[in-house]
Amino acid sequence: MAEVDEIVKRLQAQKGVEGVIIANSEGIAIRSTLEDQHTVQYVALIQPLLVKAKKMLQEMDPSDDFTYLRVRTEKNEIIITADKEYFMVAIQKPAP
Amino acid sequence: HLKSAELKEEITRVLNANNPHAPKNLVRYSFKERVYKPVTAVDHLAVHFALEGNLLHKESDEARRLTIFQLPPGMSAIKNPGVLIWTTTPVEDGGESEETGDEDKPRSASSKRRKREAKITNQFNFSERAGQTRNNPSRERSCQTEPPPRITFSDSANQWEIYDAYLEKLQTQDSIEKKKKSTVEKKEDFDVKKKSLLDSGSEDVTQVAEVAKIIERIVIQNTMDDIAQDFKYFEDASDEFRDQEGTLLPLWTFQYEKARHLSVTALCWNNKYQDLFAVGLGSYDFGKQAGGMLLFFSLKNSAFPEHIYPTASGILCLDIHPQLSYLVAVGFYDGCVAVYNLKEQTRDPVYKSTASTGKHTDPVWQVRWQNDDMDNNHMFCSVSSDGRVVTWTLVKNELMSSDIIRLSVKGAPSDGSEDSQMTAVSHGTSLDFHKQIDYLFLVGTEEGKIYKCSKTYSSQFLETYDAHRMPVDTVKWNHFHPRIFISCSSDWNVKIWDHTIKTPMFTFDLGSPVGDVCWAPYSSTIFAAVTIDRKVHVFDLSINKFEGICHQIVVAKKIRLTHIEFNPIHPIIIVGDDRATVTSLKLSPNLRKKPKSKKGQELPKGSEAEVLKMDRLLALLREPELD
Repeated sequence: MAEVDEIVKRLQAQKGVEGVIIANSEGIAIRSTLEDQHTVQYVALIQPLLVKAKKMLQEMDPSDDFTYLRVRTEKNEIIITADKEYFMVAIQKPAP
Repeated sequence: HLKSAELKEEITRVLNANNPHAPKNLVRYSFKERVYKPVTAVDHLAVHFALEGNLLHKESDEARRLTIFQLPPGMSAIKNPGVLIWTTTPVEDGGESEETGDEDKPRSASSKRRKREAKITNQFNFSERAGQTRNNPSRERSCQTEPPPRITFSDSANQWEIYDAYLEKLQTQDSIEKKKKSTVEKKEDFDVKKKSLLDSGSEDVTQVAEVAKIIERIVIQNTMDDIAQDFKYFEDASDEFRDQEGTLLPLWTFQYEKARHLSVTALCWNNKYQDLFAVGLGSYDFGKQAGGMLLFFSLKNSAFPEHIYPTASGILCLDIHPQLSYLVAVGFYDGCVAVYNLKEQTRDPVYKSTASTGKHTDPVWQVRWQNDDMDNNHMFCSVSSDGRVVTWTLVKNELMSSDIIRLSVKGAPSDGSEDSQMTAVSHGTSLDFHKQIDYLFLVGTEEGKIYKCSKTYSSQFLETYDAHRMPVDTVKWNHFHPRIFISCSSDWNVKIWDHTIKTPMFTFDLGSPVGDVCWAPYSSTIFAAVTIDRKVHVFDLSINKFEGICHQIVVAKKIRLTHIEFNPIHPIIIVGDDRATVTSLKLSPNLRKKPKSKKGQELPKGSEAEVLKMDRLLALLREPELD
């Protein structure tokens, strides 16, 4: 547990990182460096996206596995990684 | 419209004296029975108008009091039976007053009488005395406490809210049960203690460690995007115009804050995962020894090491097993050697030599893995200033985590054969095994000599080379050519030797003590060296036999470079310095030239070509020598 917390701390300290969220498969955020309202929003909206992405990969190639998903927007970049039980979101402002 | 029959219907109406506004179902709480009981008798009195009057009966107490005290001058009471009326006309009081006539007199008489009537006191002997005590001054004392902090909390409680709350509670309970089931499966990973102490939310967060690592790498790559792009794709185009010289492009720097006071004493790339390298940290300052650290960095994450192993004594050398890349042999300043297994979760070595198992009595300067011995046990060799070259064999590994290493002291190449007066044990400072010939190895010493030894001959050297005037910091066999090796020393020289010839083939004076030298893995004629004056020198003998093709300062002032290593596949080198920082540099194209083939000729295989290249060079040299 402590090392994950350390990683979250380090991530938050990195340049440009706006927030880090860890949530479980049911959509409950366990760790978050953003305020509650934003966290809940992100988690609620990202979860179905993740489900879709995983499903898509499964259908295309059943032997393949989901590693991460990057959503690059004009303002920042949202990085989503997931494993069986949890998924983790990091929001970063890309380097200019 | 009503029908005529209904019109003729008689309807009785009853008039009663009930008050229509009186309540019909009054209920009163009965404390005796603790029940609300209906009141049966309801008052039907309706008051329509009420006016309070101010008439008093003359004989009543209140009236008498009022007559005595409140009769104003000029007014008198008219004696009328029953009713007392005040009038304003002065009336003679006939028989009661003694004085007559004036209007004033009856007034004063009446007032006197009033007074007299008021106080019936003893006319002759009456004195009134009154006294008053001092009133105690009243003081107000009050105390006020800080009111407890208050928050107004408001919420609505209706059926929806209640239902939602119950649902949520159900959900969390379900999730807790699920988590308990999943953690029971993974029992071997967690301590039983940990499970009971941590709450359900956080104990499972350890599983996120893997994804967390991925995210960390991505985030860091985003930040250092340009460096990553340079690493992969940038090729310095100006090399075409630069004659034959090349440059080094700085890429990432790797540091760890907790190790800032240490120097990099060893570097080693991992053969299997070519982005992973090991850094050994310790101190070359013999007066101050402050512990050490073994760090593993990956090129994919330059901000934080992948593995950290703190050690009690400073590390001076390390080697990663060429095939089993999770085994790392480490030599310490205090003479111990240890083997770490990266797969294990502990921070301790899986093997460590102790005084009883024959550890060195002086710092261990070099360790090198060997091929497995006959029993398929892993072996490595170490050299130390105490003059011993020792082979260590790992037995009882894999299943049993035993701390004992059984070793067999192999060669003891001491120089005492010639000088019998002083026990001149030569202090070994570097070691390297031949790439192809298993038993052949070189030892460099503090006196500047290099000995060629064989594992089979334990008492004699095969050859002695008077290499340098100061300790030989590094000896390294060439990766391709079987006869060539290179040595460097603090006497500013780098020398290249053919092991069959006692004098060096090439000598380069670099103008500053040389910390380390290293052959390039892709060419037999390229090598790089680092000097204390912050420079990295790259030489390509096939291009220029006398001078290097790159001399570049790579660190800031007052930082000394200590070690250098080439990456097995990528065109980068890592350089360690005495501030516990490892800098990675990319070699420009001129530094990576492969032998050109003429058109029509078959391209010979890589290593053969390299050997050929070297042979050609040596042939050029040897001809004048023969003369």
